[in-house]
Amino acid sequence: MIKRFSLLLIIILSAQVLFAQSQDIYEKYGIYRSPFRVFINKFSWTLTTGYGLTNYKHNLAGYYFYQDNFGQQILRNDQELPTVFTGYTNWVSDPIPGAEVTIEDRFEVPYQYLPNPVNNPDLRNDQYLVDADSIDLSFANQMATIPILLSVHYNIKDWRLGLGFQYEKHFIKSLEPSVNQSVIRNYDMGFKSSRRIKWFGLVGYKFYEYWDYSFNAELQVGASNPGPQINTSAIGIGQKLFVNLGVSMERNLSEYFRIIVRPSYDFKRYTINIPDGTDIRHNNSAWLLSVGVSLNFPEIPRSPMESDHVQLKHVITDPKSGKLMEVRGQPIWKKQNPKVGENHRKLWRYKWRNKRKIDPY
Amino acid sequence: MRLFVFCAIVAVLLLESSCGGDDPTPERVNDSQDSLIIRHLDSIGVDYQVDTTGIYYYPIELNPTGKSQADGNVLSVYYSLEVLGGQLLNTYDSADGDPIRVKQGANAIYPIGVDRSLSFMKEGEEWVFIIPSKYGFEDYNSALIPENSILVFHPTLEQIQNETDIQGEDNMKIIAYSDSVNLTDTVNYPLNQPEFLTNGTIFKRLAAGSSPNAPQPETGDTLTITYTAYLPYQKNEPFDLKHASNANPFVYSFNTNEVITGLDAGIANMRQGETALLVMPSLLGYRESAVVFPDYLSEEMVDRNTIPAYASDVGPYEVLIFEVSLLQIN
Repeated sequence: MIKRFSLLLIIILSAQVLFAQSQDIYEKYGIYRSPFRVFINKFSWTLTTGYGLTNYKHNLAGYYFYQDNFGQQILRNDQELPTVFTGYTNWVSDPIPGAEVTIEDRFEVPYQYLPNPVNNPDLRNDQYLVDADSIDLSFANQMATIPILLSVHYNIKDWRLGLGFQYEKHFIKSLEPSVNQSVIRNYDMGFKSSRRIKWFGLVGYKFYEYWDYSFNAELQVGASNPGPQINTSAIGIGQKLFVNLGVSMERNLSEYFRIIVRPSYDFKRYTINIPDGTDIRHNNSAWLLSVGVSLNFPEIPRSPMESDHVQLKHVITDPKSGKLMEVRGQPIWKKQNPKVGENHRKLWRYKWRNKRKIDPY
Repeated sequence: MRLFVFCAIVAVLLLESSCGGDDPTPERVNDSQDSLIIRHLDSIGVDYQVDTTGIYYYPIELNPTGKSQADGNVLSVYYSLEVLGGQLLNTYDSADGDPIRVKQGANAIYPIGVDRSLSFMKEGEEWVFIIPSKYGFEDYNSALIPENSILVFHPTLEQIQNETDIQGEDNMKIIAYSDSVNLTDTVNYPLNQPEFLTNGTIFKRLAAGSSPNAPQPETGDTLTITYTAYLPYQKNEPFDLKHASNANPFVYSFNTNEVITGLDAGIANMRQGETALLVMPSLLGYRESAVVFPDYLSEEMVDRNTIPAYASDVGPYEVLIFEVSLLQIN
C-alpha cells in the first residue's frame, strides 16, 4: 500500500516538475537546469534533535498488587486470592510469572523477634497485598527523552506532505506509586534506558508568517516500535500507533535553509498482554522540544568560476559545456538575491572584538 | 536574537509544564504547638522545662536519691495519657494490676515521645510531660486522637531493672510454673522428666514419635509443625492457635533465625512425630516486644506497620509456652 502510494506521488510530482519547466523562462532562453536538481529542490529535508519528557504511566485497575522484600507482582482480582499464589512481574516490559508467594506476616508469632521495632523500615518492606481497585493504584514517572528526527516533505503552497523517521532514547527511572508511597516501593523496570523507533507520515500547514519566521502546524501519524527491552510479542495488535501534534517554528535564513524549533506533544500508548489473559494499558505520551535545521537542495549550483563574484542568482556560460546555465552567488544559508546589506546586517567593525577597535579594518 | 529569546521562552514554558507542582512548604506544626503548650503550662502555673525535641515537662514528685536509669533501662510504670484540650485516652494505676514494663531507649515504645520522656525519670518519681505531635501520634487521626494532637503524659516510675534482673525473674517464673502444673508428675506426663536446657528453656516430651530412632532436625531442614502458644497460667486462652491443627501446619526452615530462638532450641531436642512442651524465657522469645500507649491501639499500630504483629499478642518480657508437634522433617 505504502509502495503504491509512494510511486503515485513520485509520478505526480515528476509530471508537475516537467510541466512547470516547459512553461517557464528557462526554456524560452535555453538556460539549462538539471532536472534532478529541480526535482529534488521541491523537497525539504529536516534534521532535528532536542529534549523531551515521556510520561510512563499505567493503572493497575483489575489487579491485586503484591509486594515483599524480593519484588512486586500483580494478579487479576476477579477471583479470590488463595494463600499461596503466583503473580506476574515485569508487567511494563515483559510479563512473566513471579516467584510463588505464601501470604504470611513475617512478624507474627512465632517469627523472629525484631530489634528496634517501632517504625522499623523492615515492617514496611515486608509483605503488602492490596486490591489495586480499592486504592486506585497506578505507577508513573517522566523519563528524559532525546529525540533525533529525520524527515522529508514536499511543499504544496502552504501545505506540506512527507515521511519521517525518529529515534528516541529514553532514560528510564523507576515508576512512582500514586498512593501509599510510604509502603509501596517504586516499580523498577530493570533497565536504565530504552529506545523507540518511529516511522511516520506527516502533514502540515503554514498558518502564520512574520518577516523571516513561519509557523507550521504539523501532524505526524505512524508506528512507534519499542526497543528490545520491551517484549513486542506481548504487545497487542495495532498498539504501535502514535500521533504527534506540533508547531514547527522556522526561521528562514534563506530560500534553502531554515532553523527550526518544534515543540510537540506525542500521543502514544500500548497494551501489554499478561499470560493470564488480561492486559494492561501503558500510556507513553510525551512533551518534546526539538531544535534543528531544514534545507532544500538548491536547484542551481554555485558559480564554478572563482572570479565570478556576482552576489545574485545569474546566468553564465558553462566553461565546460558552453551552455547557458543559472548559478548562485551565495552559500545556501544566505539569501540568494539579497538587498544591499541583507546578508551582512551587522557590519564587520561591530562584530566580536572589533567593537573595541578604533579601526578594525 | 529574536529567535534565541523565542526559543528560551518556549523551553522555559515546556520545562515548567513538565515539572510536577511541588508541595507547598509544610506548616511547621511544632512551632505553632509550642505556643499552645506554653499557654497551657502558664495557665496551670507550673515551673516547666523543655528539652531539645520540644517536650515540655515538670515534676509532680521528685526522688533525688532514687535509682537512676544508669542502673538499667527496663522500667515499670503507671501512667495516664490524654490529649491536650481533648479526651483522656487511658489511665493505668495500681488498681489495674502490675505496672507496665517497658524497655527505655530501645525504640520499643510508641509514641516515641513517651520513650524519650521516661528517660528523664528516676525510680519513685512522678512527672508530667507535654509531648508535641511530632513525637506523639503525628498524622494518626481517630475520634479520640485528632490529627497532630499534643499529648499530656503523666507517668509514675515504680521500678528500674536491667535485663539480668529480668532473666532471673524469668527463671523463677519458669520453675514456679513447672511446679504448679506438676511437669514432674509421671502419671499425667508419663514419658520422662522435664529437661532444663542450658539456655533456660524447659523441654518436656508429651507424646512419643513414630520410633525412638526417628530423625531429628538439622540446620536448614524444612520442618512442618503444629503448635499452640500461650502464656503461663493462660492455657485456656492461647494467644496463637493459627497453626494448631494438622490442616494448617506451620512450615519453616530450622535453625536459620526464621523463628524465635527458644522455639528452635526446643525443637532441636525433638524427633519426628513427637509432641513436646517448651517453656522459654522472654530473652529467647520476644524480649522487650513493643508497647503502645495506650495499649488498645496496638492492633491499629500493627496495621499501620508501626509495630510488629507479635507485639499485639506478646507483651514485654513474657515467658512463653509452646506445645509443639513435629510432623515432618524435609
